[in-house]
Amino acid sequence: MSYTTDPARIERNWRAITIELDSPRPGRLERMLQRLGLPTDVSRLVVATPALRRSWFVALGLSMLIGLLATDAAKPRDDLFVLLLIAPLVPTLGVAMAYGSNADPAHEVGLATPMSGLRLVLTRAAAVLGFSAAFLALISLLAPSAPAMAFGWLIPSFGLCSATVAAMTFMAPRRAATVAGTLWVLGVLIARGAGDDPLAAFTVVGQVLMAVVAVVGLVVAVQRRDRFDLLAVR
Amino acid sequence: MTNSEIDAVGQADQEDRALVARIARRDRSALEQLYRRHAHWMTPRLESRCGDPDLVDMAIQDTFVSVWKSAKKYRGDGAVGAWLWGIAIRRLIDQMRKKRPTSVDLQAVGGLEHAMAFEDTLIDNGTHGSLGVALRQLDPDLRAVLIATAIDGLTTKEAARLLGVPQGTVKTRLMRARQHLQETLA
Amino acid sequence: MSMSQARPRGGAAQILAFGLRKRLDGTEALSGVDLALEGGVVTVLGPNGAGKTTLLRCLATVLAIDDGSLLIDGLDPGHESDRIEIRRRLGYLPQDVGLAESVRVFDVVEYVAVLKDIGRGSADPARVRRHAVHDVLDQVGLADRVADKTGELSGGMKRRVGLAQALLGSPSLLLLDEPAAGLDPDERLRLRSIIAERRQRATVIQSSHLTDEAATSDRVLVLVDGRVVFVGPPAALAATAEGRTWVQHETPGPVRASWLQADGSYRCLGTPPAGAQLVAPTIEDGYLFLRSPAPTH
Repeated sequence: MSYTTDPARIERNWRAITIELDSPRPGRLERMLQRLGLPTDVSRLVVATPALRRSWFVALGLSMLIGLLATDAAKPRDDLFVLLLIAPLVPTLGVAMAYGSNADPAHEVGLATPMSGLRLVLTRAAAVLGFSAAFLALISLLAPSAPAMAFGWLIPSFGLCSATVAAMTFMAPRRAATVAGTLWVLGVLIARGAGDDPLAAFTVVGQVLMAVVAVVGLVVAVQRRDRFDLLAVR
Repeated sequence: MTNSEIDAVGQADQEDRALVARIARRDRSALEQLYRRHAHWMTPRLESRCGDPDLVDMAIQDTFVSVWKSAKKYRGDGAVGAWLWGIAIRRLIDQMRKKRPTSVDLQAVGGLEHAMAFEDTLIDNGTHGSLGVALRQLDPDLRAVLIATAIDGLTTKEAARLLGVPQGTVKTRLMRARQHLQETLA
Repeated sequence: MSMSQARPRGGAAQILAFGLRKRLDGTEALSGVDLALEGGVVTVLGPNGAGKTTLLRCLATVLAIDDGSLLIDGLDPGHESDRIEIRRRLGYLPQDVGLAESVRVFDVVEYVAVLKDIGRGSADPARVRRHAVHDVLDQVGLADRVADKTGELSGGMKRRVGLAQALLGSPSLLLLDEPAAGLDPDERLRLRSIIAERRQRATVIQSSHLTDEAATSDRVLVLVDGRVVFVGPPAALAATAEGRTWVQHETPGPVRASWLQADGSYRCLGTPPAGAQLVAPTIEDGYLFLRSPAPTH
């Protein structure tokens, strides 16, 4: 039988084979993300930034610290308060650590590409948020009390991250996280001081408020997304 | 085929086997030789199963990447060419599965026509005589199922993926094809 | 500007700038730059702090200009959709490449390939990306280092990784900020060939504070204190010091620039004294003449 193929095509495919053989395999973390169903380009965006991994370790460490602080079974409601107060700060810190010229060595190269800066920020924020939430959820399950409220940090986490991203359009990422975090702590403490219930900030009203903050933050970030497409030089 | 032709085929396969053994020892040049010996017939034959040349190219590439990784697993039962074809047709199925369904429908139609033309020449060139006639008389749908299972050696599940029809349809068509052949050849 | 006035993709990019101004750190980094470029290799020369990096950043659309107008292929970087389209046509090597030390060469380049949207719309984007990454690493001569961590590379190699990132996606505008910095002589030659190979299809703008790179380019642009003081072919740059370059053995008085040469004589730039021994100026003479202010008496 004589079935022939264009010689140029034979060459092209051979080069493609050598490229497939010579390309290093994605790392373990990236393969795991792909198995979870993330497209290859998104998983690459998530793992390519070492700062992002660093922020994950910080999240991990902080979550463990919270776990230690919040396991005093004698005062369950106070423990829960500590958990709910600190937990939203974990992803917020991670978000601030994962963007900008301080965190990302390829920041300037990345800016000069068609990839939207906002999309990059939000992808990384989602990665940090997802990772932190998984750990915090584990700790919440181990928390001894008030299961109804044990996950009360989830919506505030969204709100605080969203507010931080919005604030990043006005100031450097770390300052943005500091401002957002400080306002959060003050707000919760004021709510606690105002009434008898230490968990006042986490009731329905508080949750709705933080959901509104999340949406408003996102709107502001989208409105001012130009800031994520330009270099922040004085 | 004459005896000398059969000897030539046997010798070519011996050379192929030696190459596979070298590939198992991580010899990149052996892989290149094996590729150059077989790509020229595998490419058009895959194209007869699928009308999208990009998918065929990727299937060819994946085939030899698999060969590189799994040369050790080649047991030596059957010719190297048949072993390669078995890998290639499955890699093609993998590629077709990944592709978005809207374009698969279009490709499948073209691919089927292709397949018919290709297997027709195969049948004409073969020495099957009455079997060739019987195959040609077969309804194209039935013939495609027969080719996928008997010639490509696919399971009904794999054939279903290749042809883009449910597994049950493959089974019923296969049964009807067998009946048909038995009646014609009887 | 709207997309409708955009030039089609394909040929070398066209840059039209008028009165570009940019303030940084309270000083004017660019004070009224005009440019009209299309195709070829342009070398931006200037002392440190002259505004070379700022100019390249503005052209790369990562800095917004304060005043003036800038059009790249008829597109206005001040508008989001135009800016994205410019960035599709762009390859940029920043002054600081910024490679994560713990990441493999292949991965840092593939990351930029993801950001550049390479392979989008193909049946297997990841495979197309791997191809593109290998192609550019081949071009910069790093094909055998794909699996190494960037931290293991020499300074010149890191620069080449950055160049590979810039070359991804066959850009029609290639902006290279000090591409030759840290390269050894062989690497410099390779860089020159890569640039020469692109000059047909792309507008290449590179910055340098040395005149070596200028000699091999089509045009030279001299930037001093945020202003363009010269644009033209390298020979014309040399010619600006024609009749203003001389050699003398006595210590020179107030001239624009002078330096002691290996043979013990002084090479001087400026207004020659009567009977001075005039010599043919080099590109470097022209550059130094332009960047040095006239002496005040």
